[in-house]
Amino acid sequence: MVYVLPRDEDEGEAGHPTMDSDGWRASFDSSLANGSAVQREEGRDDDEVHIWSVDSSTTSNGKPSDGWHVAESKRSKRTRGAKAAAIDHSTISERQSPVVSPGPRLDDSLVDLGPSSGRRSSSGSGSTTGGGHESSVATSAATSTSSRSRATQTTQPSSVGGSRLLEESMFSELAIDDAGDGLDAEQAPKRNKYKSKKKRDRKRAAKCREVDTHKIANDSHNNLNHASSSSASLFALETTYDSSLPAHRDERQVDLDVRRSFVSLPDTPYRRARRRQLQDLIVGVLRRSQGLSYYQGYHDVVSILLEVLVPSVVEQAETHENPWASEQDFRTTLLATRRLTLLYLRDFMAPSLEPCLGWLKTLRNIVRRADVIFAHDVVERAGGLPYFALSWLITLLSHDVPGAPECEAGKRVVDTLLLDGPEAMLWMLAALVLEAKLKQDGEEEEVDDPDMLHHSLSKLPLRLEDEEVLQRVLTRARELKKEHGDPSPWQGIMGPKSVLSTSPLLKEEDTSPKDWSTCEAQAEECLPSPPSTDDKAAIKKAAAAAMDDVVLDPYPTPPGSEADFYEGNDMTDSKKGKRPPRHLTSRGLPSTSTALFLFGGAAVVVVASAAAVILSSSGPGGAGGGNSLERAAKMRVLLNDAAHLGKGLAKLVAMTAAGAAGRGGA
Amino acid sequence: MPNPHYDLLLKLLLIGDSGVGKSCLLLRFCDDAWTPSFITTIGIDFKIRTIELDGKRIKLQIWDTAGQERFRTITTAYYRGAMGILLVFDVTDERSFQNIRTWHSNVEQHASEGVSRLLVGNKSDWTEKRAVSQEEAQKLADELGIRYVETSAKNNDQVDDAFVGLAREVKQKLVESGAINPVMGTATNQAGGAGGNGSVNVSAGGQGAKQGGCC
Repeated sequence: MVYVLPRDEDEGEAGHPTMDSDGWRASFDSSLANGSAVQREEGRDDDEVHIWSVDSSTTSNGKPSDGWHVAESKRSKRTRGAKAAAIDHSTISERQSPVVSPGPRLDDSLVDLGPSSGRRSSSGSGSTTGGGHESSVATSAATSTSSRSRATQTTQPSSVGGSRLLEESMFSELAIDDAGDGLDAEQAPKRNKYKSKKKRDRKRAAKCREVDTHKIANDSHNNLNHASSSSASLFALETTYDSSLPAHRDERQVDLDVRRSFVSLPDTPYRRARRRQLQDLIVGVLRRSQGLSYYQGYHDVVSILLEVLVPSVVEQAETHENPWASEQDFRTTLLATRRLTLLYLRDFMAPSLEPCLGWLKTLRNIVRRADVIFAHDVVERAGGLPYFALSWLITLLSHDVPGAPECEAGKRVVDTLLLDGPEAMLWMLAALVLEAKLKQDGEEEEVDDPDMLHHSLSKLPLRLEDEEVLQRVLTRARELKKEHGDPSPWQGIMGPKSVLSTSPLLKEEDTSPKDWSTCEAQAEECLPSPPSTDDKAAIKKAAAAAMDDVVLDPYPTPPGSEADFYEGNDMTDSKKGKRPPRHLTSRGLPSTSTALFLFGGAAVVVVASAAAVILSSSGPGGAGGGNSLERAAKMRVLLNDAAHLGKGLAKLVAMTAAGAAGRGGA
Repeated sequence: MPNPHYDLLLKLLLIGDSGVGKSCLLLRFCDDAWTPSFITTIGIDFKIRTIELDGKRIKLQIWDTAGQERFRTITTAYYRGAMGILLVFDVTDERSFQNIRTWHSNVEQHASEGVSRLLVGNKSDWTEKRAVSQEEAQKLADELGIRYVETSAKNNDQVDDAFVGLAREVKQKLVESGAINPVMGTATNQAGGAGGNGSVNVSAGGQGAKQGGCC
């Protein structure tokens, strides 16, 4: 059958000078678009094209008549917006870039809640006192290695001031968070000492909601209040600390998934408590950011955080008992969860799946850049986009790695992400996909069948159980980034409000220390407003409009001929699927000392120790001699990583350390 | 194609609200197992079981989908390749029953014309919590012009009946439409080319080798 590709007027505009949104040189795509007819022989064209027409709204007669037309119209609609957005981008990213000094709002709130925050931080730190709290606790919590203790010692003096600042702002925020909370009658005895403050806070909150640090989301909050009042029947879960916050529209789904969490554990009071904690955290995040939409799999990610940050659980004999060792434990973990959510997972929590598709398309582009033949023969035969990797992506592999969240591999992945930023996920997944090139026993069967390919590719994370494979994937990911990371493979796909565009960890030239609460506030600014109406059509429309800034071009482009795929692609080096190595010309790696300077010393240690916390928490019994040697090696790698990044998750990771502190205190 | 251990490949698809027990049904049917604590399904994948039907070995490739609405963007793309679709609800959850209409209209919209459908009410063992009566469900099934089966993945009640029954129906349709010919039974069974309802290629976009790259 002859297949005529629709020609899109806007196609030319969409191309980027060096690389278009498909990872090809612009000329490739335009030659596709201009070669007015591409002839293809196939028997089941209807089937082939249908996969692209994923949205029913654009089909006619209830049937997708021509998938490529649909996809193209979607693409062109988006690419029209892309140009405008690109202009916008620069301003937004400027705005997004971390602020050196905290904004006036943050200052206000710090002043406002100064005394209580001080009280909080000292009560929260328990046995440890003083400003060096985070790094020192992290140090003790982590497996001791000579290399790290040395590092701690040398930077201790400077770390004190830095950590205290971090801690104060962090805990003041926790205190502020309370403003929206109500007093749960059951919790009252425990919370007496906060009571008067809370009353004050609540009055203030009622009077003027902008006391909330996250007042940027204020509009959305108010919207929601309307929304929830209009739909009084909104399903609301029970929570330990957040019962006064308005319910989130997705809590029913949360309930269903929480019931299916921690399945590897036996049904014990311990598991009940874990599930309740999980529920408290998810609901806590959602109720505070109503612009987020819950997705199945988010609970997997939060489970990992819970495992790592909150080792202590009050086992529940009854479902209504408080599973948290202290409110502090909850607050700290909630803060960590919230930041990870806003800074890493925000795109996946959009009202629609389109941003996820954008990520998958980016992943596809990376695989193409890395090995075009493999991409064509295997990955893209399994599906136009690597749909098999969807759950890997949105659960940070925790859904698919066997034994996660408890296992080493699951934690290592999250650990790497914390250090390298959200984009690291793409490189890791690409490296994992490329693992499929190494055949395993019994896999040669039926590899020609797209379904079987989808099936077997989706099982790749199982291989991560093998330490060797895990190591290889992580190393490969780093190499991929070095080799193919420039220009960014999401160029033209993801929009200015995507995690990939706004991540404070991506701009290597930016040397200012991160103020993570500001980053968090900025991330929150990127969220769409929550639906203010019950009208489904209106919600859909608003959501679609909001998505334009997050993802520009999530749909795959039409296929070219076989020849196009290989020869039109200048990315290949004599058709060997290899791209000429890209040298690190403009991006020299900052040395460790630069990093120390950038971080003010303390942060490097914090980053490294927090990572160590995550590593070490993989099992108390696992700290054998061989292991600690290995950890020493890992620590060196991690320290290098911090230098390599030139910036770290000082704040986000500091939370991890603080979580350990909570544990120490509990 | 090498290695055809079966005469016919049929592709079935499970859809329905989150938590109604789609994965449980599949696990019961394919592995004869049941676990009270199931993990959520994210995205889409399949399991396989080969059954014997009228002396033919039928390989059933059964696709399990995520129930949450946001994943429909992806899962509906797989409707087209399905030859039989099980619309599953939870008899203890009125809401999941109400949503069957939505699921059904999704099928109308995205699946191949004439695709075989089956209404499945799961968790029939949980009598004390039942919220949807058998009559009610049967009425809806009649209205939609499809069969209704009540199952319990937990007690292994009527599970085989549901899947095998649907497979039989699909096969019957293929025979009637002349899609199955005497030489049917290769691994890449192309029977689906005919009759509209038999498109075998579920993950449609990926037939890269034959159609060129999916750029």
